[in-house]
Amino acid sequence: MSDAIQVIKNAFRPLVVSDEDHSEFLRYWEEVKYAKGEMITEAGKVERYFYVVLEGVQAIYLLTSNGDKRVIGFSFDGSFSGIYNSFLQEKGSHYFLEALTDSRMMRMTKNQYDSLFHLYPEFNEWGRIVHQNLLIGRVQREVELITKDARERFDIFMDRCPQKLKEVPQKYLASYLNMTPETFSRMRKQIS
Amino acid sequence: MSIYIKPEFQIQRINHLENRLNSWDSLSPDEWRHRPDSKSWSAIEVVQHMFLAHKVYRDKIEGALAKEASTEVLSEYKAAAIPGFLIKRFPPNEGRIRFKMKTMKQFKPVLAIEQLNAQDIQNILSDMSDALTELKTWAERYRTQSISMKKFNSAIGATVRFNVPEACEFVLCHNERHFLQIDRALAN
Repeated sequence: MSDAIQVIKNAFRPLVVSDEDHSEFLRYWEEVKYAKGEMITEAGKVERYFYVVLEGVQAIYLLTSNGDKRVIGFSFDGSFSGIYNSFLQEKGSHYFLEALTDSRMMRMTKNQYDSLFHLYPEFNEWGRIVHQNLLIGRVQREVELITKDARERFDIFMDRCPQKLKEVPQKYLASYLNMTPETFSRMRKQIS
Repeated sequence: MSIYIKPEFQIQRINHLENRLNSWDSLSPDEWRHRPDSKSWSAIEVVQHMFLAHKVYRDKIEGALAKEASTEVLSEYKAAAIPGFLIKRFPPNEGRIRFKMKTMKQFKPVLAIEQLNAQDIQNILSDMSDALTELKTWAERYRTQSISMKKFNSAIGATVRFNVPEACEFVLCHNERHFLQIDRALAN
């Protein structure tokens, strides 16, 4: 459990979480495991949990009107995970969250998450920063999808994504970069 | 055009049907029993019909899943020509039920409609809810495990034979048609 607590503390930076001041917060977390390929959240179901990933890679994707997958994001060791809009609004998710590798995650419920902002005023500042970063990240991705060609999107992704993400099936990475698996594979061969 | 069956797509659509079934929780027995006209089924009769159709496939699908696996796990399964032809015709299109079919005797709901009380109706809805859960379990199973792709007879006999993904798709499309029929029965 102590390694998990350290991962949680790191994930919530720049907030400084201490054992003494945030004991209630640290007690909230429950560890869960998912096998490779297992659905964590299904489209149509409400996301009940807010996650921190201890180990593994997960993909968030939606399905087109004929059922094709479109990957919109990943979570991995040390990052937050979950279908955040469904979690906040307590409405059915439009997305799937799937474990792409065997995964170990910590999770807390919506009630626990909401209580953080009442119990600890400093979590409001954490919330401001997290949402600000989320917004900046989404805008940046949108701009890249609109303005960069496939080669540029591939290079940017390879530069900044963690090694663990590069090991997931290519079709997920290709979909995230809005290119065919064949194009992705060709580019990968060119750099290897 | 070939039909490709995708398990995640089935799971999403089953969840959608589950949510719709749950959204009808507050309907009164009178609303469930109401027949829009003398020839049409009431909403609860439609539910019973869907459950009867599901039940016919239960043993067939479970039997196929119990057989030795013969295929690797795929992200999509191409439907064979005849099942694909049927599946393609089945889903409602832009709110319209296409290619109306005659209901076989074994699938006709035999209910003493006026005598159904709230508990009877609840039991039928509960059976249907369980059936949707079971259908999702089958989709989840062939999504994550290698299974036998041996074909088995459909409810109409050996003319149409399904493997597990095809049968799940057929049952799901059949349900989607009839959920639309429930909407209409309730609206009238």
